[in-house]
This record gives sequence, C-alpha cells and structure tokens, in this order.
Amino acid sequence: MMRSPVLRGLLPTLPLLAFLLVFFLYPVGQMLSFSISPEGGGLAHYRELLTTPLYRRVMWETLQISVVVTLLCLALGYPVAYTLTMAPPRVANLLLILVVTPFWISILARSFTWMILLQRDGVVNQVLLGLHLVRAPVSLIYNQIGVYIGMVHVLLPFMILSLYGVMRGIDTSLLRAASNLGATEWQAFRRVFFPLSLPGVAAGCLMLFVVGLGFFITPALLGGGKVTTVSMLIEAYINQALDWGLAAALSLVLLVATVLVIALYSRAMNLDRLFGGGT
Amino acid sequence: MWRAGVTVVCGLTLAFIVAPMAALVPMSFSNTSWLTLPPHGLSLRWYADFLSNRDWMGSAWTSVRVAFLATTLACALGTPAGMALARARFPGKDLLYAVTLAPMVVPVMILAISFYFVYARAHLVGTITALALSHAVLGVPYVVINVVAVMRAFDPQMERAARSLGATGWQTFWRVTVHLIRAGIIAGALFALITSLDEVVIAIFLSGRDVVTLPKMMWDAVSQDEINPTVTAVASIQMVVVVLALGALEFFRSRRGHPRPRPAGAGAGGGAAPGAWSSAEFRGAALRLCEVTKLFGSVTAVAGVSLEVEAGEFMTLLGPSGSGKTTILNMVAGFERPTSGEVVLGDRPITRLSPDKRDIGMVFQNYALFPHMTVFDNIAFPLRIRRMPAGEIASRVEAALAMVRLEGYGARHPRQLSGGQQQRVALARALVFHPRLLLMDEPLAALDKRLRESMQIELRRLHERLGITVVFVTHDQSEAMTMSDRIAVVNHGRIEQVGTPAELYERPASAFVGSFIGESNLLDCRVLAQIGASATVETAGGSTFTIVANGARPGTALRVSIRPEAVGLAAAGAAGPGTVPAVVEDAIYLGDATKYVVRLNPDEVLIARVANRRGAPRIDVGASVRVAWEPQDVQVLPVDSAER
Repeated sequence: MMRSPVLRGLLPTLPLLAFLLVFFLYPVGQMLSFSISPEGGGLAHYRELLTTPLYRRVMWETLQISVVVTLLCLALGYPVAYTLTMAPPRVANLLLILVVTPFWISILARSFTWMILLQRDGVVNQVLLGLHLVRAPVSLIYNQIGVYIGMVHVLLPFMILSLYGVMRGIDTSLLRAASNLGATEWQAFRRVFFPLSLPGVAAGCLMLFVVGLGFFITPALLGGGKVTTVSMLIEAYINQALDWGLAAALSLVLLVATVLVIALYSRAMNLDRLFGGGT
Repeated sequence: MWRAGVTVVCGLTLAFIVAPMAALVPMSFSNTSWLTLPPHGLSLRWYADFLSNRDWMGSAWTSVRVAFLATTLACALGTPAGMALARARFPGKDLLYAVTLAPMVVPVMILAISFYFVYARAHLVGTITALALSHAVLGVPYVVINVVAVMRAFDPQMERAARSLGATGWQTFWRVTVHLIRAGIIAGALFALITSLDEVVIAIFLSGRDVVTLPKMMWDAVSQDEINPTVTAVASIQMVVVVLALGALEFFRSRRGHPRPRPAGAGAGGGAAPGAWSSAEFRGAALRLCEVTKLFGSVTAVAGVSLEVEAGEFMTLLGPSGSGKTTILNMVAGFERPTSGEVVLGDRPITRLSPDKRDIGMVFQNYALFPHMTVFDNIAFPLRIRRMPAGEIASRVEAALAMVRLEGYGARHPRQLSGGQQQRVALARALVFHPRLLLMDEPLAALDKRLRESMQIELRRLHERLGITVVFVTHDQSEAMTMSDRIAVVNHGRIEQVGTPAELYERPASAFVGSFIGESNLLDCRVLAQIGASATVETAGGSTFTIVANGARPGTALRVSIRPEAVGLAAAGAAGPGTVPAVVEDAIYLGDATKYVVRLNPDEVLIARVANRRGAPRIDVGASVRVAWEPQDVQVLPVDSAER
C-alpha cells in the first residue's frame, strides 16, 4: 500500500525532471556537441579560438566589462544597502521601492531611455555643460562608458538586494555592544558590521559577474559597435555568418567559464545564498 | 562625517536608478519624433500610434499568450517539484536542485541558440509552442525557489496538527498546505510571468516571421531605426500596468492581513455561557504501550518502552531534551511508526493506524494554529472534517470557546492573540471533537512564568472536570509535579521509573530520578557491618554512618541518595549515631531556608537545606559541624544506575 519513501519523495519531481531533460538539457547538449562534431568542424574551431587575436580580445573585453561593472555596482550599492538597513522600517520600505523600480519596465526600454538621455545633446550633456564641468559635449554612449552605465543600471538592484538580504540579518545589538565596548561608529562598522556583511558582498559579486559575462542587449544597444561581448559574437556568427560550429564553440567556452566561477564559489559558500534562498 | 558621505552616495545612486523611469514617461507625451527632455510640446500621438498599429497590438497579444502558457507550465511543473525538494529526502536531490536552477545561470544567449538549433530542425521556429516551452524553462527556477522558500518557512507541525484533528493526507494538502504556500506560488508565478513578458534574446531567434512578441517588436524598432518614440509609449503603458498590478496585490494582501477585529469580549456580556462542557461528553480511554522501540537509522530513540495509562489519568512523560519523550508522544499520535512494539488505545491496537483515524487530540509546542483561518475556523476544523452539520459546529465551537474563556474571539486570526490566548485556542481545538485521549507536547514552554503557572492550574481543573485521559510531555519537573497523577521519568529512550510525584520524590529508583526530581546528595559507599535491620557503611572518602538495609553483606558496594532537607547540622561537640563531622564551605540564603555546602572529607561534599526559623542561629562559613540524618531518609540505589 505504501510505496517506498524514496519513490514517494522523487515522484513529484519527475515531470519537471522530464521537462528539463527534453526542453533544456537536450537542446543545450545538442548545440554544444555540434561544436566538436565532424559536420560542425571538429576541434578546428577551438584551434581558431585560441589562435585568432579577435576572439581573445572579445573574451578579454567581456571579462573586463563584467569585472568593472560588478565593482561599480558594489561601490554604489553598498552605501544604499547600508542606508536601507539602518533606516527606520517605513523609510526603508520606501527606498526599497525606488531600488526595484527598474523591474517595472523592460530592459529594452531602459536601454532605449539611456540612449536618449546620454546622446550628444541629451539631458546629461546639457547639465554637464550648464554646470561648466565640460567645455564640449562628451561621448557618453556608443562606447564603453555607455555600456558601463547601462549595465550598472540593470544589475545594481540585484547587488543591492543581495547585500540588503544579508545586512538585514545582522543583529543590530552587536553594533550597540561594540559601541558599549568603546568602538566609535566607524570602528563598529569597520570591525563588526562590514565583516558580517561579507557573505552578501561575495554572493552579490558572484551573481553579477556571472550574469555580466552573458550580457547581450545592453552592450549591443549602448556599445554602438565599439564594444563586443562573447554573446554578441555568438549572435553575429549565427545571424550573419551562419557559422554554427564557431558559435557553438564560443558558447561552450562561455558556459565553461560561467560554471567554473560558480563551482569555485560553491566550494566556499552555500549555493542557496546565491539564489536569494529566502525571498 | 562618513555617514553623511554614505547618505550622499546613496541619494545619488537612487537618483541614477530612478532616472530612466522618471524620464521615460514625460518623453512618451512628446509631439516630436526627435525625443528630448523636457519634451517640445505635448501630445498623445505615440500612444495613438501604438494602439492603432496592428503589428504592435498583435505582438502585445502574442506576448500575453506566450507568458500565460509559460507561467502555467512553470507553475504546474515547479510547484510539486519544489515541495518535494524542500521536504523529501532522496538520493541525487542536490543534483536535481542544481539542474532545476541551472537555467538561471546559463547565459541566455546560449539557451537561445540551443533552442533555435533544435526547434529549427523540428520546424517549430515561429510558433507559440516553441516560445512558451522556452520561456517555461526560464520561469521554472523562480517557481521552484519560491516554493522551496515558503516550504522551508512552513512549519510541518501544521500538517501534523491537521492529521491529528482527523484530516486525511489529501484533505490536509488542500485545506492547509496549499493555503500556506500560496504566497510562494504566486510570487514564483509573478517572476515567471515578468521574465517571459520581458524576454528578448530567445524571442529574437524563435519569433520567426509570424509570432513576434512585444519585446522582439521593440528590439526591432530600437536596433533598426535608433529612435522610435512609440517605444516610450509602450514602455510607459507597461510600467503603469505593472505598478497597478503590484498595487492591487499589495492592497489585497494588506486587507487580508488585518481583518477588522471585533471588539474584545463582544457577546460575552451577560447570560450563561452556552452549554459548558461536562465529563458526560468525554470518555477517556486507557492507553497501553507494549515494548515500543523506535530506531532512526542506527540511533535508538526509544528502547523497549512499556507504559500503562489508565482511563482518565493525567500522565506526564518527564525527561531532559533528547530523552525520547517526544518520540513516544509522536508514536502515540501516529506521526512516527514504532520499529517494533504495540500501541493500544482502549481495547484497540492503533500501531498501524494513520493519525487522522485515531481520535486523539494534540496540543503542539508552538500551538500549530492555522494562520490562514480565524479562531472559529481553527476550532471548527476537526468538526468540518467530520462533516458535522453547521448548526452543531457553531454550538460546539461556542462551547469550546466558553470553556477556555475566549468568548467573542472567534472572528480573530491567531496572530492577533497573545501567546496564552493562542495556547487556549489550541486546547479548545484539540478537545472540540471529544477525543478519547489528549496529548500535550510541552504546551506551556513558550509562556512566561506567571502565565505558565496559572495555565498549569487551569489545565488540571479542566482535566478533573472532563475526566479525559491526558499524556503530557515536559522537561520541567515542577510542572510535572504540579499537574500529574503519575509521572514517567524518561531517560536515554527508556522509562526509568513510573510513579506518583510523592513516590518519585521519596523513593527514587535510580540516581537519575533522584537528581532530576529535586536535589539529591549521592554517595558511593561500602558496607562495614550488618546489625539487625541497619547497616554501617563507609563512604569512599572515609566517613561512616548508618543506613536501613536488610541482608547487606559486609564488603557490598552501595550508592545512597540523601535529600538535602533530610540533612541536619549540629554543633561540632554533639556526637551520636549517624553523625558525621564536616566543615561548612558555603552558605546560601534562600529566604525560607538556607542551603549549606558542607565538606565531609577531601573527596566528598553534601548539600544541607535547613529551614530558617526565627531566632535560629546562622552557621558561619568555615565552622566545624556534625551532619546528621535519620537512617530511613537514606535511599539505597543500585550501583550501576548512574553509569548510563
């Protein structure tokens, strides 16, 4: 009458497992294996990836953009998350709404708006000129600066939420204890709060770095052809050069890099935290 | 100083985050196709452009259909899987969880070209099906994460409570579990929906010519003719829809969260309480455990426990945490199945009966009140499960509320009650269906001391009035003494002794019982000589005294226990039988008595508790005294009893 507990536990997961096998793992596996199949060109593509300077440049640029954007988000997001944590609940809730406003509109519309705001005679340049900070309009778009601005804007809320999630769990009586033991506010922050917030920093940075590696829309729109990421290259090989073998090889490299970063992280941290666990 | 800096950076960052949304809306009303901020002149032409354009409207409809299909699929697959992943244990679970979450971390471009690669061969590019399946892959992780999160926050006691109140597994799932994890499913669905509505990269590849989603349409507009003002109108409408949806969600949630409380005590004024309960309605049944053993893997939680509880008796299982008393209770309730042995209620074996068929009421440590039901609905739950007519349910619930003195609280939610009130609701719910046995698992542990003491007396009165059989679990010996007819002392999965409070205190059968119930002085000693009914013994440290013992052969090793209040202190000069010289090491004033720590010899100390009488001399620390006790106050224990 009673089936074994293992089977009873496993049973509800089987439909999802089957679905993911057929509609997720199988397509990705098919595409990736094409890169080494004879009709896809065998290992020739990987030789090409290693020897052609273009690919190395694109991979390097992708990596660099992801790192810079992650660090910018950390620098901007940490003070926001800290303010949220210290603010009274009502204020914190209000600020939190501001932080998540970008989720209200599509990533396309956001990039599009930045294109208008950052153009040569756009609002930002007019303000900079009006304040006499610059003498002539600056190029804020269709270059790396534009990509940084757009990507930071997309990823910043994720960093703030990740930091805030951990900071909110820090017992504020620890800070009172620190000041009771003679620490100034800064010392209490530096020696107690900051170390305790590091798990959030680590989780946020990993998430942003991994997601940043795969970015396509924002650099494609705001880079103006001067910035190329691996994802953009893949798209170009499929839609323009129709070279599936090379696109698949590039995908494998990107995927391996992503998985490697996550694997390194999961050795040090609980993976649940990366995905926000509680929320 | 640095705080001001933090505030400035925070303010600027927030302004940066909000800027595009703040700029987008005014720009959408521009009447020029060259967008600036502020706009030159206002018009609604871009909204009109969007609403009158077949392509735009068609793509919006496509997006809605795809998102709806993908979300439904993701929820249908992700909800059961998430529940299993949070609860069940099976090999490869971590791997399965990782696979489930993988679509979140695989770069979406890789997913897009993989789907394209496969669906192109299957001639599915340009179909709603292909897009919906692909978007469901993206949505599944959100559903699973959210369901797992609510399942982990969700107290499994709730399900046990429902089972003990008579609900079958299926009824429990529909009436309790689904309600409590609904928030997680909705959140997951919302994430999945937004993800699908916002998805561009996969749509670029899979849209083909015929099935163009809204984001794909926007992508074409933006990437081909750099500035297309219609996009601002579309995005503004999107924003308004999302804000309205979130606002509505929040509105309903806040309304559900704070139902207008009825004035406290309304309906209680005047008149007799409707039909207070009497013992006539309860027929307590006897409970018998025969050689019950429970193994968890290789750990023995309960080792061959046998216990008889008489009908109408108040039996307490007393023991330290981890002693196995809760496991015993869970086996009686049916939440755990004994590895071996038999549980008999009345004259019927119930060992293999499911919890809902046992007719046993249970009060849980954290009360396990269903948070999505009012007090009335909580108490009515077991009656509704038993398909009682509504009129009788109402009168029974009223009677139950009267019994626990909570008349007029029926419309409140559990979270609006204090801990003591919640406790009483839990009690009313456990009794309302007139069970044959009431189980209570540390029900008073969460209350403060005064409330706990008044509840102890209230519970005892209720038990006396109803005559129901009660099995009560606690680790608090004074609570056990206050309430119980008999106490079973549980240690290391075994029952050490069963007896009335007085029997346990006066004649502990083991060193453990002696020290767990009240304080005890334990001394190891050896018999020197047997004279009539008494024996002279020498402690390991070399002190000698007399005990009551029959047939103790000289040389026998014994362990004896002496209660502190049986130990008397006399001036150093007074010698006599049964007195031992000692030195006072410490004196602790307790109000009604003073506790003295006295050293008999370098190896042995005793505690003496001396009542404080007016005018009685205080003995100073360091004084030499003689300690004395009556031989019959010395309880002889088996030597090995403390070794376990």
